[in-house]
Amino acid sequence: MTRTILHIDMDAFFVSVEETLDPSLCGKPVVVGGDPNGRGVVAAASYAARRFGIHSAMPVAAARRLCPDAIFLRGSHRRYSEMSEQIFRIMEQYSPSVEPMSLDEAYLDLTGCELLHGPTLNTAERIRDKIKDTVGINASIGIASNKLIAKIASGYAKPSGMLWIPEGKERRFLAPLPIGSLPGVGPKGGKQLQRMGIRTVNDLTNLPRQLLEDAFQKWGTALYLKARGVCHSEVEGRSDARSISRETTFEEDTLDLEFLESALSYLVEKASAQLREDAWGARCISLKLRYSDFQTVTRSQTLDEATNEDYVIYQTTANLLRCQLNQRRTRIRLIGVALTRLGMPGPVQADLFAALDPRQWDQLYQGIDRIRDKYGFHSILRGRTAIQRDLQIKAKTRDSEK
Amino acid sequence: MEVRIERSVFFNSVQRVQGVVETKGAMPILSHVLISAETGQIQVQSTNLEIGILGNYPANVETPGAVCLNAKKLFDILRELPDQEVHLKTEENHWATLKCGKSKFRLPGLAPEEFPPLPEYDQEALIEFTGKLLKEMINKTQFAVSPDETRQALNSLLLEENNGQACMVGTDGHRLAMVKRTLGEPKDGEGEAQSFLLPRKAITELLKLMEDEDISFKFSVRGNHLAFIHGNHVIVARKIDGKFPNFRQVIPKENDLQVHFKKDDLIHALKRVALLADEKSRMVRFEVSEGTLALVSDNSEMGTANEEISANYSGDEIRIGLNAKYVLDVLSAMENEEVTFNLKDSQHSCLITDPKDGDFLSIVMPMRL
Repeated sequence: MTRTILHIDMDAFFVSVEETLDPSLCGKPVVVGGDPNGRGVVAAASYAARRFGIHSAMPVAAARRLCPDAIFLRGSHRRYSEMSEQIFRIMEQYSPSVEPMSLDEAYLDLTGCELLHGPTLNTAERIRDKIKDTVGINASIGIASNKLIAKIASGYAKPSGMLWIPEGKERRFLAPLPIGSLPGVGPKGGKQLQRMGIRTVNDLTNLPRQLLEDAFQKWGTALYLKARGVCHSEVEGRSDARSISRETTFEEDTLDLEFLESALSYLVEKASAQLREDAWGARCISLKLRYSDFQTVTRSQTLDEATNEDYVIYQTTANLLRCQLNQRRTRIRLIGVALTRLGMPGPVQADLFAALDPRQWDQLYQGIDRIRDKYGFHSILRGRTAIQRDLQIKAKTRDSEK
Repeated sequence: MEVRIERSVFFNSVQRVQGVVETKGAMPILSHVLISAETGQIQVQSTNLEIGILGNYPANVETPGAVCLNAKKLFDILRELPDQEVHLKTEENHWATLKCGKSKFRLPGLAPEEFPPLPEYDQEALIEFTGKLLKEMINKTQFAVSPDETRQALNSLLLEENNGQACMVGTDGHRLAMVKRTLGEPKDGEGEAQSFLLPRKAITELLKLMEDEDISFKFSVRGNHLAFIHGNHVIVARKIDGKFPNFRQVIPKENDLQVHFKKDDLIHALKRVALLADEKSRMVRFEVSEGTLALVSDNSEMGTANEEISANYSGDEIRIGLNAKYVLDVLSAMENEEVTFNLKDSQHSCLITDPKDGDFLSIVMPMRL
């Protein structure tokens, strides 16, 4: 049966939220993210700001150089998630299967809803208008027979557009696109493909599956399928998040244990903060590593009790990391942490010989979460995470000295 | 080697050493029992290199000698044999023939010289228990011992002896049980306290040997090994590396809120309410108010359960979450009809005592609600 999947993506979400709260910002170059005088990165930039070459994930300082007159805002995660919640509630009026991918994007499965809502294009238009009327934010929508194409289409339709790729036309749509537009092909992977002479998705489809798999293992298989517009992933309802994961690809492959642990610590802090926000605990903790030859390994450990404490999760993953490094010493390209077997942290058995009252840990994490709510995630970090930031700064100063 | 032995005696001897036989280890010899015969008796032993057990039994020995046979197979064969005399004879290459009635078995064996010898142990007793007393002390503490073999100290019972007073303590870090008993007349001048960690596995084997409560248990130490000598049986266990936690420090002294129950009332009600407790945490909420205790289980997807029993208590209301299994373990180790819970608040430990036995106590840590 042909599926009808929508990918709905807010345009410059953080900035748009700020604009609805302060309409005087409209049309001006606005940048959200970090302390403008510090070393944060751009979380979102308004379309006016983008004209100056500012884009998300660039250092705020660089953005400032590009456009000194831009308005820099710190942003508030709480405001954004409230707004996001309203948007998801609108989407849920149209379909029971809404899968949020982040605060500002979601997949919606409208398969078989024509009888209920009328033609899909009209429904999509109604959803977009309703979001605009209710929260005042522009959304772009991609419509296709699977999640992959819907996502690429919504990116293509930005800003405030809509694009429908009918079934059977997927390959024609993808063929001329640069390979970077495929989800999962980042700057590094893109560069590697370019070295092989592949620039467009069409180039990619000309490669035999075997060659891609030999070169990139699983990622190769994924590329082969993606280039053909094939994606069987279902739209998963949002009530039961099955896992929380965070991963990062390094700018340079590394074997530096201190750096790896620090990166891991950061990812753990991110993931467990999310876990606490959702009031979950995780019982299964996994470490994911991708080596420079693209071999990917996952190592997991199941705990006796569900936890959402940074310290416990970090120690578990760090042990897994050390074990894995002892087994294979090859430079690492990507590191990630995944928390699964989520459940409500049940009643916790107190310990007879514990040096510290366990409630003090709860209070500590509640305190950390409150500080982050108010001053941003980076306002308070574990010592080990902070090492990475120091290392990065050192690396940068070294670069600039050169 | 050639021996004739009663089937029931032989069966018993092999059964008693089964507990430490390794069935799938890297060393095949450890899946075997060593049977050695000398005048008038056979000796059966097994070991897993941590713990070794041996027993001596009367037998009609025609030719002395020794053989190692697969413990599991020998046990299975002896179990099925009729109650008649068993004839065991070794052949070349460590094969053995076992005959009983009209049955005949030929079994491949291993060289007895390959069997790891039991470490030397001291016949001289450091501490001597009556079987009955030792059994009681073990029963009152063993349930609290941690099953986790990686935490060696908690995987053992602590035995302390000082001037004729013995104290045994078990804990898994969430609960603790302690019992003190007098062994005999205090010996003047020998007041030096000694303490030992008895591995859980050795305790289990010890209880299996304990058939006759009147025969005493001698406990001795030599070098790195502990030994228990009980009649014709000996268990030798390697000493545990590790430090038992400072248990005296966690025995609460300010738990002034005393609640008295009829033990059986509490056991029955708790068993019922615990049926709907969360399967993992086994938590039941104890809500104590004047004259009553309400047991509540309402945090699982299974449904809810509650039951009230009468309690002798006058004071402020207290609610505390406890693991039902932990509480039931303590209750079933107690002999008295009455039991006392000594509480402070929902965050502090629950001290369970026997009003008639001041030398037994158990501590259960609460669960955070």
